[in-house]
Amino acid sequence: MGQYIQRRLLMLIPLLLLVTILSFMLLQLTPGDPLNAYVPPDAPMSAAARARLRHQLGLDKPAAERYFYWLRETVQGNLGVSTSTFEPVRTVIGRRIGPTLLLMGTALVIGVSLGLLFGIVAALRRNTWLDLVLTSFAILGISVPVYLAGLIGLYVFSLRLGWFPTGGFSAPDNGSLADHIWHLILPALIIAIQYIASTMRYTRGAMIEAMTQDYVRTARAKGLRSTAVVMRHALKNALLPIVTIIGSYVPALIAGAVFIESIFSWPGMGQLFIDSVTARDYPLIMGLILVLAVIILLANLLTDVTYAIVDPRIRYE
Amino acid sequence: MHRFPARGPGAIARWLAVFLFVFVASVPGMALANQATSGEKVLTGAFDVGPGGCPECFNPLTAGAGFTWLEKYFSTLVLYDVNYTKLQGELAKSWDVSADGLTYTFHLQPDVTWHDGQPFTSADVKFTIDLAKNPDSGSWIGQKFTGVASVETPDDATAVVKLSKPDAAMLDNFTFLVMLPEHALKDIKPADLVKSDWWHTDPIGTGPFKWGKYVPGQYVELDAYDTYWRGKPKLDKLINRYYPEAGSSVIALRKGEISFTYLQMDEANSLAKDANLKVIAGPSQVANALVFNMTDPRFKDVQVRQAFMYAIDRKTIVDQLYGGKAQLSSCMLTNSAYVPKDVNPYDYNPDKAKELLKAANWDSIKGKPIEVVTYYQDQTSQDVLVAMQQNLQDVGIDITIRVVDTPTFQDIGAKTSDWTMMYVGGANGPDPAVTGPYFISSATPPTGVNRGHFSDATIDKLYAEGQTTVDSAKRAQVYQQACDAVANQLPWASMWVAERFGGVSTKVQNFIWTPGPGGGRYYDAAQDWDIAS
Repeated sequence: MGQYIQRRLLMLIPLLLLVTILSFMLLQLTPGDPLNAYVPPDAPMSAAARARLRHQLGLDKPAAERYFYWLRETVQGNLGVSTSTFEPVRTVIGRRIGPTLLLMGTALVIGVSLGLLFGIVAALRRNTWLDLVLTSFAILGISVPVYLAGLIGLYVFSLRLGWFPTGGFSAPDNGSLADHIWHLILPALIIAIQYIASTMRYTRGAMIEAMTQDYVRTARAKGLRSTAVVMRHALKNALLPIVTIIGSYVPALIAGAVFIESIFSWPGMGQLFIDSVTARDYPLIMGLILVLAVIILLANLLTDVTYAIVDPRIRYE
Repeated sequence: MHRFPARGPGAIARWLAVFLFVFVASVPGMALANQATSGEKVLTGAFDVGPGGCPECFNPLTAGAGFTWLEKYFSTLVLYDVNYTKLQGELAKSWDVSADGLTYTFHLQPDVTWHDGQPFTSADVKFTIDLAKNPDSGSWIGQKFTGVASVETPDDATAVVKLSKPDAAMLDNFTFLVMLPEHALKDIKPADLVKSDWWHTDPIGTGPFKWGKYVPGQYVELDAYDTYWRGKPKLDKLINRYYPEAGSSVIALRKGEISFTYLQMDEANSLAKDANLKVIAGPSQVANALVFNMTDPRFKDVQVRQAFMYAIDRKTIVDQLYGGKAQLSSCMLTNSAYVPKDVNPYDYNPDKAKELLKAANWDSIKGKPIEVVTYYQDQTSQDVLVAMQQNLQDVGIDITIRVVDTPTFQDIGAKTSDWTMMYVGGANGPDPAVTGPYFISSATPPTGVNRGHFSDATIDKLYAEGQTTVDSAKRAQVYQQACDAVANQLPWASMWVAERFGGVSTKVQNFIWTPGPGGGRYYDAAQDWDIAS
């Protein structure tokens, strides 16, 4: 297993290289550059001043040269300097990654745990009103786009009911833990909705199938308590497809975070990504793509490792 | 179907119910625990939402906008009044302009101190102008000061700015330039200053508030500067919160979490009924226009350009789509001082448009539909463009609309062959000289924004004359002639100047705000702003 993980980690290197080359090429094809974003559309600026700025931003060099320069520095841990704020990219991302991981992590934990719970309940109470309610909720949760859920949630729970703040990471002058949690709950729940919904759907299906298996009947015949039958025998076998699903949530979570972070003024990477693209901030865009690619690839690795833990039949050589 | 004994899953369902109950019950309690309890007077607003804002732009030399906020802790030498009609002293108590318009002598306000207690002197004025002029500072505002030959400082309270040629817009230029402290910045090389974190760690200015705390991506907090030269501000703290999604700031305003934000037109309309809020309207000072690419042979004939003006029902568009909250303009300018009374108003007249097109032989030259490129992505602008499309189609002009983001737009605009027509906004004030670079032949890209390569000797001459005529009455006459020439020649088909809006809580007192281009540059007496508890 250790060897397998090592090999997978080594595989990350060519993959990441490929990702950065492709993104860099796509960026070059995007119209506009940092200078275009930097100067207001109706501001006059002399050709000399423009050329000077272009040189300062390093945009006067050929693309290939810029890529290799970027790569050389990145390998040494220097992600460059943002062309819109002139701060080191590492500092900017370092500041934003925490809130994003917190929001995504909380949403994932809520999504998976409630999804599993609802899914088990729905499977065991199949074709009752409880199953109907939970299944309807799941269909709704899967169909409603996250930004719409965000806007509705903000309107209902923040403005109308006043239960939650309208956004931000904490209130100014209040950095207490309770304040952070209070700011976290609503956006995390809203992102979680679709993961509760889809986890529930998969769990329900997998559990219904597992409950009809011979080993479940045998377990029950042995006189085991129903909780033990459900948790130890049925669920453990039903988990395998669910682990795959959870692994596939990570890229989608990042995409969803972009919308929710904007709506809830959450100072995370999703919001930073939008800003960096609007500003054509090449170093920042490249830095973000790199970090997100690492997160996604690590999540995939984690999924495969979890597989082996959940199902002892799976062996990686 | 086999039913399980209630114990297993039933227990789960009960636990679930308990969990949900505890969760829901605890939320209002947490909300209460978070009520602010301090007795300080704090005004929190979203000062960088909307087109005049520039979130987290802290370098006033490179910021394209955001002056409303920057001027809370930095100050300029001169400012406009809130209606942008008159210039008044700020850090300059008064000023003299020599008869030849080449020498500006600023007499500085005494007793002004930087937030670290050091006195503000003429040396700081010289330092700031020299810094802005230095191309290494990366300042586009510095472009406005290239005509400054030297700055002399005969004594601490006097700064003499000498120009190489008269520039009647010089005082307007100074409303952009916030003064910077020589003693704090002189050891940083201008090229490094752009990258310096001084701007967001410990900047010092001369404004009513001083730098407090910056939480990236969330807010900036300023504290009252007790020894502000006009007197101690009434507020203890002024907080600027960032809202990447403008709609969220409006919800925060309605909920009372913040006391001020910029509003879109439809939001302004819906908030007008809210008794706890006041909507402030003001002219955007940005004139919308269709820009012709003059290298396209179809636009060579002025009759074609005039047909666009007659074909578009501007009054109905303003009434229907802007709710009447926009002012028509025929020459980009709207300030009545610079618009002659008899300027062609281009009232809606589709028949006249058809006649003009016929005279210009439009049917044989019209070619493919004309693509109109714009960076306006808001709903009102989309509706406006569709209305224009309909109006133009009625007289036989086919246009298509292409919406792009600002950097893409800049890229397209820089290459004359890449576009045919544009729909843009151009600042039209407060000083009329700002419209010059849109049309004069020396301002073709990359120098200026005459992207259409328009060239007309009369317009060039009048704008040059306006630039050097210092006497304000004479200057107004020159710009009236320029306005007339622009309205006849139509380098840009000038449409209207829309109003923009802000919403403020009725708890806030003495609040002065107006939505200028890039924000700020007017005196808002922020030291008198107050908030009822």
